[in-house]
Amino acid sequence: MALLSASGVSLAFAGVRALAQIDLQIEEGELLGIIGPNGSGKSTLFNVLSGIYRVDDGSIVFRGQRIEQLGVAQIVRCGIARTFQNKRLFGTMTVLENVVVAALKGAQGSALGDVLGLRSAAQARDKAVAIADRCLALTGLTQSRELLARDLPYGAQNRLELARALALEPTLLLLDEPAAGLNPSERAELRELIRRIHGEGLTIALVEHDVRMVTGLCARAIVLDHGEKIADGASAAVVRDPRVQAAYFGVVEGEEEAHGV
Amino acid sequence: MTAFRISQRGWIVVAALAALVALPGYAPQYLVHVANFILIYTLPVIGLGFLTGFTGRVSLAQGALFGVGAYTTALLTTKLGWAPLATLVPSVLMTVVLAVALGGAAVRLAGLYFVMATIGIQQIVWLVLMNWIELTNGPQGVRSIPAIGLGGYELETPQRFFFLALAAAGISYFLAKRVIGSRLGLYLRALSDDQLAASSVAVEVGRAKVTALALSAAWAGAGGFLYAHYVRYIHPDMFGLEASVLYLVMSMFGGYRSIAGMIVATAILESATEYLRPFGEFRMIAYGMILLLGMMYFPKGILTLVRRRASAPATEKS
Repeated sequence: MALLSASGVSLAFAGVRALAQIDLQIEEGELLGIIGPNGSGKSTLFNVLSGIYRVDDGSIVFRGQRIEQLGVAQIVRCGIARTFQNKRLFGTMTVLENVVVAALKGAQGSALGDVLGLRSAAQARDKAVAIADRCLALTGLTQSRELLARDLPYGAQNRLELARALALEPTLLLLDEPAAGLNPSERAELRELIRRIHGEGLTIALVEHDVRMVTGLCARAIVLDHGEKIADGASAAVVRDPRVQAAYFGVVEGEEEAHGV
Repeated sequence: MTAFRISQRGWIVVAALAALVALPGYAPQYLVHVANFILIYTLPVIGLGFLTGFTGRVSLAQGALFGVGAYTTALLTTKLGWAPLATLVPSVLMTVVLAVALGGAAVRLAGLYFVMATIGIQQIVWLVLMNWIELTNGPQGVRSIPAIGLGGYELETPQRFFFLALAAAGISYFLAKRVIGSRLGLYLRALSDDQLAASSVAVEVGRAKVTALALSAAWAGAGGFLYAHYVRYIHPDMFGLEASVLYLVMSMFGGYRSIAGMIVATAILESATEYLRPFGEFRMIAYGMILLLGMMYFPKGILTLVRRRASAPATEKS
């Protein structure tokens, strides 16, 4: 059985169709690419999967549990973490604090314990800091630990988003255009990082505008256009599909050769 | 260099604390009286800081919540004959329950709606205090509130009350630091930076905000308790919108997310209201000028003045 399985997912905003009857399976351990032109519904799909939008119709089953009616924080606790395309860091907090918040996973039962200085609370905190440090090391941010998140350079903010999502220790990680705004060398680094995280056994869905990134990283890809899924299969084959070509590359010639590189 | 700096700063703190503890010994009664008000007001101000500074929610109901604490203890002691100290917990609880019942839903709303809701809460509480005459004595206020007795020692004079107020302010400061340093404090700062991102890292933002409101009310209730037993006569107008605005200004004037800053601001602004009395009708104008100049030159709070000086040599080096 698939790790995540969505069927017939539909969503409209004030009558404007955003997602139409999307069926989607994400298998355990895979790295799935989700591509499509701007406004095709990629980010909307992520917002549905992470509970930010409620579906109008359809169901989403994750690890055998229906999640389409759950709230954002509840879905995270089920094991789905995400990053945001337009970085949403806690700007006034340090890099470490940004990741520690995530590593605490919303544990709140003993806020009073913290205030009273109970040992169990201190242990939970130490554990969170240990997880956070591991994620910072993985993303190469250990040096910047004590900096404020808003003072980080753009590329590092990008990695901090990733570190924060990893600190939630998710089963499924949704990456929303992680390469947007990065220069070529940062892109290459990011690609290696994603490959490494995936190699450690994490299931990842990657929304990406850059087709080369997807064909380079993902074995399978789906293509969205106008809120519909128009292709699903091996990523190299999917991008050659005539319907995809029409929807995605129709305007820009030359991308076609580029994706093979 | 840094070690010297810290120890120098430590000495200043120690000296200031010593001067403060010894205050009733050398200062005129009037000064001790003002100091008592400052110490009492630090409670509602720090409480409000949990909401304004750390959660990004502006409340204009803190004066009313302070009043709920004051009225609870005043009525329990004068009408039911409770011992003053026995009413501390009921006063705090009453304030928290009322704040969560009236504001718990609103605090989940976007910022501006919450401000409007708190103005409503402020007015409701004031109207009830003013008009539920059988319970609250209405516009006559509550008289003859007993002084707090500690082991047969009545804290009647400003000098005697001073030590209780100082201890209360100290405990409130210490606990507030713990709250801010706790996981809850981390969640509150996260959600005030970006609420959606906070939910996306599993923070239950609604619950965290209601907790911040409850804490803010608890501090207000404890402050109101002290106030009632210090002034020993309370009236609804002491807990009106004007008081709420004053606490809000005090909690923001000191510095963004700085509890020490909130205390300094309370001291400056409360002394200003007292020492500007010779200005007569121009008092509020002078007060307004202080606020205006403070906000113009120290938009991030008056404590930035100290911080800027302390960090200047370090930046020169690099």
